[in-house]
Amino acid sequence: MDYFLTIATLILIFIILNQSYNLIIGYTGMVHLGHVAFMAIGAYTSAILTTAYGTPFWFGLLSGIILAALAGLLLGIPTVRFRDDYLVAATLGMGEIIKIILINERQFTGGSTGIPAIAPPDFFGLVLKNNFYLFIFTLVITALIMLFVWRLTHSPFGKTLEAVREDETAAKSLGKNTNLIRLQILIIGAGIAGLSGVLYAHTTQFIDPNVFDVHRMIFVLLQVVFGGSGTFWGPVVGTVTLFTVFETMRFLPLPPHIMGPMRWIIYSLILILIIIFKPTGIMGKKLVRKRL
Amino acid sequence: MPILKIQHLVKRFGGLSAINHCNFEITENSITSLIGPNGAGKTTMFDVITGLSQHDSGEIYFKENPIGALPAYKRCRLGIARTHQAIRIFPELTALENIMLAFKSNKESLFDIFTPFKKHQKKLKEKAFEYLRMINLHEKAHETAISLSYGQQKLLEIMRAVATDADLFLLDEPAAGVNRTMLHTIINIIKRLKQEGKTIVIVEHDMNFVMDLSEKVIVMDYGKEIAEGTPSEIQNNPKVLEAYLGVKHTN
Repeated sequence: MDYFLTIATLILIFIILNQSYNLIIGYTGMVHLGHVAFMAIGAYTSAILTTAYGTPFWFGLLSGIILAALAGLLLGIPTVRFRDDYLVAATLGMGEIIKIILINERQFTGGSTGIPAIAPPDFFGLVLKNNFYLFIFTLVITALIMLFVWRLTHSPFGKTLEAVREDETAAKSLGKNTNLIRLQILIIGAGIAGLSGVLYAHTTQFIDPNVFDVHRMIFVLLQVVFGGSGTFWGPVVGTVTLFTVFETMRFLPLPPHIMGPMRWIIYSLILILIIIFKPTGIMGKKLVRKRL
Repeated sequence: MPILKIQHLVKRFGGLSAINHCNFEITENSITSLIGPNGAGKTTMFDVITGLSQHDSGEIYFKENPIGALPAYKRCRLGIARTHQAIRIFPELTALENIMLAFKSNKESLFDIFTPFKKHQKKLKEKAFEYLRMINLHEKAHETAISLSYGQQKLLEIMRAVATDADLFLLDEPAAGVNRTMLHTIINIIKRLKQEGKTIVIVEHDMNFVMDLSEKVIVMDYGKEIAEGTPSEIQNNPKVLEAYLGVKHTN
């Protein structure tokens, strides 16, 4: 039972992450491949603050979100002008740089051994030790994030995001400050990703740089595209389906040296199938989009 | 009073001067056509005026203020709207949403999501419906723009520009590839804008359309204005015939 609750909590955490990624790639159309780095910043900030400095969980949570959002701002300022393949290269590079920093700054991050023994979330003495409480807590936060994203995407601001994705030149001609809009959504996306990172660190109680590598990034991309990028329920469907598929694969009677590559074969297969049969994702519209 | 003044404008693409020391003025509340052979720099002129591409030297004055250094979105907010030669609508958004994105009273900043906007949106929706009714698209308001026909998309783009409530409209080939009925609708829209006190500049190759509608015609060739005047003056101007036909016109 505990195992299932942990898996369910992790699914919720990745729904938060994927929903924030969906804002950037799905609604605004920025192919940003360094998104898990924001999650890493959130996770490490809170983990370091609570383990090394003994700060309360809520402080770690807030710091994680703020620092990740700040990283979004810093990355955004030079890259909001980038398009398509240039943006891909720049953001992919940024993701790797963050990972390298995490590996090398050993005195803070513990290097490649990571940070063990991160305390579970607690609020003013109320420790969420029990997996069930942890699940409920994550569920509430997920619901709040979903509400926020719903409100955002159904607002006039949300429509300008889609306008930027659909035709940037036209959006500029209509008086939209497209660079500012991209920067704003990058900061929001980074902040939410930071939140998911904090939750991840305190749920698994252990993090190392490999959790936030490019494999994770591809998995996030796959989940969002599979579910339907630019749709509200797409990332949820994508996360739940693919996470469940890969978790069930653990129970297959296969040796680990086959399991690892198998996962990648299945990733690719799913991606190929979705591109052929439903390019807009499971929850996507019927029309074929020009971009992701 | 000229609403738009182009002064010694230069725009180079590498070694090619797409606009080469061009000068002209557009009178307020007039319909002016910008004509010229292919590659004369007409669309580039629109791009430079709206700020989609940056000019190299010279200055653009809009309502007597220099706007050459402003980014495209600010120029739109000042009151310059345009349509594009190749249709630029938001294909996956509905016709209604396309129009609504043009409204300046839209509460579209990020921080507005924390304030109530439903009521305001409803009002804007009704206003957008009225715009769609003018081009007979109100029944397709909730269809995605990409599913509309070519002509309907073109009308939608023009209407979207109208919905920005600009003072100066730059229409790039509004008559290209549309049927007679739609052409009629477009002409009506332009005449109506003129009645409302707006200024319209048209780039067009359909000479009947140009000569019927415009009060003034500016002819461009090799990035420079070579003639301007009323339609009848232009039709008899030897320089214009030379630019189009490439031979010296003799009586």
